Amino acid sequence: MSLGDLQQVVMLAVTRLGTDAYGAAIRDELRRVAGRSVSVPTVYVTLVRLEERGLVRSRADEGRGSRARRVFSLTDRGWAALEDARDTMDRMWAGVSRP
Amino acid sequence: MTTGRGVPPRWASALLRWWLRGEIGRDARADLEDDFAELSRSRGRSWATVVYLSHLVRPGTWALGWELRRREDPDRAPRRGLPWVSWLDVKLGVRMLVKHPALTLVSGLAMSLTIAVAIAAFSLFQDWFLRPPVPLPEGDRIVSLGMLATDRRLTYRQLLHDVPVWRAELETVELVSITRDHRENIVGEDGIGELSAFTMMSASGFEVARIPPLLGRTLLAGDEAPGAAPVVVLGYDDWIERYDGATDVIGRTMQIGEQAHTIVGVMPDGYAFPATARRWLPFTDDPDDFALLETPYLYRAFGRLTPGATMEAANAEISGIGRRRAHDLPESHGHLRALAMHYTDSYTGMDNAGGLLIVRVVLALLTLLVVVPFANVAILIYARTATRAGELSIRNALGAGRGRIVSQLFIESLVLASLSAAVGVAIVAYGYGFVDSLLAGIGGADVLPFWVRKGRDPWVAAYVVGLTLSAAVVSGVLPGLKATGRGVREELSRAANGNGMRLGGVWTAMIVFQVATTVGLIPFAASMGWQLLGAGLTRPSFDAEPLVGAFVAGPRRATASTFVTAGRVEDADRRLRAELAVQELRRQVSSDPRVRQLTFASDMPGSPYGASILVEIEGVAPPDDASAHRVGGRVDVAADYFDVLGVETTAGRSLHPTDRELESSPIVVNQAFVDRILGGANAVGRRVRPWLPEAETLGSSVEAGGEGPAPWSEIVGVVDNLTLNPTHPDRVESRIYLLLDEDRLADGVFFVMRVPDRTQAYIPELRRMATAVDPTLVVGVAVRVGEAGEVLSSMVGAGSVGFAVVVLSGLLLCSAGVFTLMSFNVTQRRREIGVRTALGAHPRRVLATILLRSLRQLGIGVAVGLFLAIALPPLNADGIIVDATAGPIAFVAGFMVIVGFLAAVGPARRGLRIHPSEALREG
Repeated sequence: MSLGDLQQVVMLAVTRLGTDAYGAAIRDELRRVAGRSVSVPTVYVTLVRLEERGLVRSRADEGRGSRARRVFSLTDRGWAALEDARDTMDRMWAGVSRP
Repeated sequence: MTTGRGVPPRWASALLRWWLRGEIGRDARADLEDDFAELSRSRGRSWATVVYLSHLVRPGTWALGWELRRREDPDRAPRRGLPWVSWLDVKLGVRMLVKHPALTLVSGLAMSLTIAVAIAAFSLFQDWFLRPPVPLPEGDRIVSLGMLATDRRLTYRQLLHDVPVWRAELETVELVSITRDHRENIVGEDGIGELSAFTMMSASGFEVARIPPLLGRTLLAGDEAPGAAPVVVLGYDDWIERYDGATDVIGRTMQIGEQAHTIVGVMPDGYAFPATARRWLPFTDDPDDFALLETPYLYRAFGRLTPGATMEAANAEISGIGRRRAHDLPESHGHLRALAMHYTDSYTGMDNAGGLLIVRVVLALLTLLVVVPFANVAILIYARTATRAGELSIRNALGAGRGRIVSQLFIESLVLASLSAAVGVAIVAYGYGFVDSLLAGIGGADVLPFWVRKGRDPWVAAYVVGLTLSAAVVSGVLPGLKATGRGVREELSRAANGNGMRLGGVWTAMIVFQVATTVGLIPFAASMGWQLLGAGLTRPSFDAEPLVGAFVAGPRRATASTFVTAGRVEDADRRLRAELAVQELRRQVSSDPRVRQLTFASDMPGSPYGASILVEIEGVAPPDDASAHRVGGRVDVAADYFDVLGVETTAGRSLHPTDRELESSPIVVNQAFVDRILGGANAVGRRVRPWLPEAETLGSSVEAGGEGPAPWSEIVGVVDNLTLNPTHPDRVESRIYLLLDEDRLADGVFFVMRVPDRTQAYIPELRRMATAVDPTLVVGVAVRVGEAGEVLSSMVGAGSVGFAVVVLSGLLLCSAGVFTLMSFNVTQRRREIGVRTALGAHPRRVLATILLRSLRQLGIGVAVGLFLAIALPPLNADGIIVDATAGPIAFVAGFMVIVGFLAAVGPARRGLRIHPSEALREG
């Protein structure tokens, strides 16, 4: 299952954030770690599409201050797709060096 | 006041709520609102609003909306993406611009100028009237405190005595501070005194602004105590210009008037709080000194809302205090109402919601006016669209629906509108740069408050985007909808056969509308521009070049502005010292070999400014609608004034030094007085006196008269009009000249000197001499008299040239519109021409019929336009303007008729040339 670039970094941000993986936090993580500036709706639309493909799941997190949010996490399929993407890249990189 | 600081505009939230649905949508919206609150805190509400609004059009937001809808109901979800945006359309748009250069030029110019004018007006309103944000930390919590008199005007002088009460009692406003402007000489190391602007401000004022100093410290409360060592805080510009940015400037001294002040701090670049400050002195005016009420000082009070307090609460509290004081002190406070207001209100006078509403309505009307040029561009684009009927028809046949075709036309117009907007923005940026350079020339740093952003404002950016989109909609979508309207296939296929589109009565209506608006509006604008241009080109009526005019006064309690009017020096000791100083300066200047002549006047020679006064003239009845004659102003001059200036006496005699001893108190009037007020009749021998209710205006003339009517003054002579650069060449103000009381020179007088060589260089020399005589001697405005005219002339000239460009391009656009409409209209009647010729009508008769019909359309347009021109309220308000526009109206009407007629002749003659059978086949 192929993953787009943005999808990969969003999924990685979800795993890095653990129980804090909601829209704005993911957006901030992308900016902080990957140096990518994306809008909150873009993050959400990526998550919605990933969820539709069964790669992430969401649940309402009621215990978060005054406002309940949906928090995202990776499914087993999501992990598999992420690992697959990394393996693909690793295989492609194998033996490649800058001339 | 509920500012809704952390909450985005309700309508924008509602739009996003509609678009982003469900739980995910709610989460996304909540995150955006959090972002808004954060941005609002860090960069201000305006910025946060623009960023929030940008989400309405960002692709991510659109995509999320589509996804959420699709999840809700896969069958009903709209198609994803933005089908109407295509790069091909953009490329096509660019190609169209290149392919039709004349159209591109005319419509692009019109749109650019329209957008430039609209942006300039909008940013001016934003900066000045529409309560601009105060760019300081939590600037929206800084409030002005003031008092409104019964005539709803803010009163400024009395504040000094109320601020201590407010400071002690107000709980909703903290750090209550007071400020006023102050002018005094800064004496440089070269000994030259330079009259400079200071801001006296309570030490707490710096805490209100919450900006730390760049170097040293701000003022402290201890600096205000009687006997405290004099200190000054410098602004950034002063620090750079006077001290070269030296970091050891703290502790040095600045000689201000007689006293050396220790420099204790430097404020950062751009800091000018409370409004236009450049250097700050401790506020030392004594609230118990009621003599200060007699000065022209304008006090302003301000403070910060305490945490949790609202503007409403502050207003309620201060009103309560105000009512109590009005009750306790009915004489001084009975007519006043205390209030808290938006910080900039005390400068703009926009202290009430009604005024704000009026300003918004005016701005909305101004914005609506842009529709007129945009509609003209729409006509031109429509004409081009009609010629492309074949192409559109083919696209239609290939399956492009109406929406697709209209969207293509919209994108094409958007390309043109975007380019025009870019040019418009560049024009405004250039204009601001030009104004800046002019203002810098006349010490403009004192003119504009620090919150003026001159277009660097997110709302202005949003306004430009809005204007560009409207231009594209009006000029692209409307013609597109019309061109592809009812029975699109049928119309297009007819058009593809070469017949153009049928519009019938719409053409006539458009022609009439076009001609009428042109005849109704352009002449009015043109005559205004012409008057401005005339003013810009006028030169002094006397030899002003070798003259230096310098305002000199003794140390006074107040000098309100650079163009000061004389204020009296009341303190006896100071008065004596001032008299001696001014007389000594006079002696030194008179004996200076570089100065050919020296004379005195109460105003800059030829100044167009002056307070008008009401007078009675013996034997001459006042105008029907007035109880007295209004004279443009009174100038006190030395007896040799007119000789020094080389102004001719056209009747009677000039003033004489011994005139003060005469009981008839002789005066001289200018030619404008004779022409305007006496209708050209002989003036010499007539007697004039101040109209009683206005008697105080003539000051000393009535002193002797006590309570009764003022004594008469006899006109002994008439002099030529003395104009430096009047705002209208034909409207020189009438003037009365009185003999100057030379014992009162220290109250403030213009030294007018004829310095034939190195005129400009004499000004610093004069300042040096004045400072050497007495460092407190004030030399205010000091310029070459000719230069004063040049500044005015270049400002008015530039404005009028800009205005002329706008008007001329308006006329060009309108005539292009009429030409297009008319030639299309006639072209469409080729078949009729052919049929009539086939039926045997004489070609000349056919031609006459066609042209007569065209002339009728033009005639109706002109008639409606004339009605508009006469009915427009500004034309009726002043008879002179009516006269001024009569010529331009005739010119524009004639011009439009000729253009329209020529546009009709060509196609009509071509129509006659085609064979009747061909014409019939076209049907």
